[in-house]
Amino acid sequence: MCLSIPVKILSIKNNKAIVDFGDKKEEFDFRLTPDIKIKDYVLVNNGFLIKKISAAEAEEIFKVIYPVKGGVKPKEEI
Amino acid sequence: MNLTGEQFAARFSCRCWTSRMKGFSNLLENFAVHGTNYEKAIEILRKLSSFAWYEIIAKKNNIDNPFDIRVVRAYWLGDDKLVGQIESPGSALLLFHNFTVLEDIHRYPGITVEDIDRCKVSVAKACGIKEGRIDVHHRELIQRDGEFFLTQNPKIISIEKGFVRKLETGDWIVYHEEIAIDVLSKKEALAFIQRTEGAIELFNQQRA
Repeated sequence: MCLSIPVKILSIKNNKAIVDFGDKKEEFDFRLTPDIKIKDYVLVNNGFLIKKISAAEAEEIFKVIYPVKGGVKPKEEI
Repeated sequence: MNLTGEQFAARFSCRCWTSRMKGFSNLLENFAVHGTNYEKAIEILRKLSSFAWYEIIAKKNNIDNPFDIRVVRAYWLGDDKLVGQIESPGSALLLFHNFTVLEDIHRYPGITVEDIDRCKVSVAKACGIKEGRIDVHHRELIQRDGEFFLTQNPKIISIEKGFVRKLETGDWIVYHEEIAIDVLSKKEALAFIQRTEGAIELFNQQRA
């Protein structure tokens, strides 16, 4: 699927961004999106944050991908 | 008329999952062929996740336009000249569709290897040409013991002739989501297959 899932930034520390990924939190490298802030929405892939997007864009993607084949919308998302 | 980067992007994206779900496929297909509805097509293409990759590749190579044909080709087909990898301690990000697509299976419960196989870009020899269809020797993506592989024994599948106008049996066809995108030379095709195998190997190593 040519699709990237939006996640929300929970915190930033030690050069890593902690993001909300449904029922778990994961660390991502944010060198490609150096201007991120807490609560921003970003697209992720293979351990990297690849693009900052607006809340409206994130919502638009959520509308398309959830529910998708059993996918579960992250609890803290829109 | 020369194919623009935007039109080449539309060829690949017209059948992707998001385009199908949102009903963009026809508009993007027409844009890819005729250049119609330019503004709407660009608006759609900029919203697809592939655009994030075009932006990263363009920036990394000091190219102003993310839709530059070199950038779009590099993302979908790989490129040995443009910078196409980002290193991080313990991991590397390959700026190539056939690497980035592999992660989907870890992120989306219910997504199957067959889904990823259709979504990866494939190159194969045409072994039969019928009305609007091409039979190709498809090397399927499989998963064994948690690792991805391309099968060594191709199976014949039928794909849409799509954007390929002239071809002969034995030509190397690049296809995505079971629609033909272009014809490659043998040299390009073999380089692409090697790149894909390298991307799969890198992904497997990082998941090990």
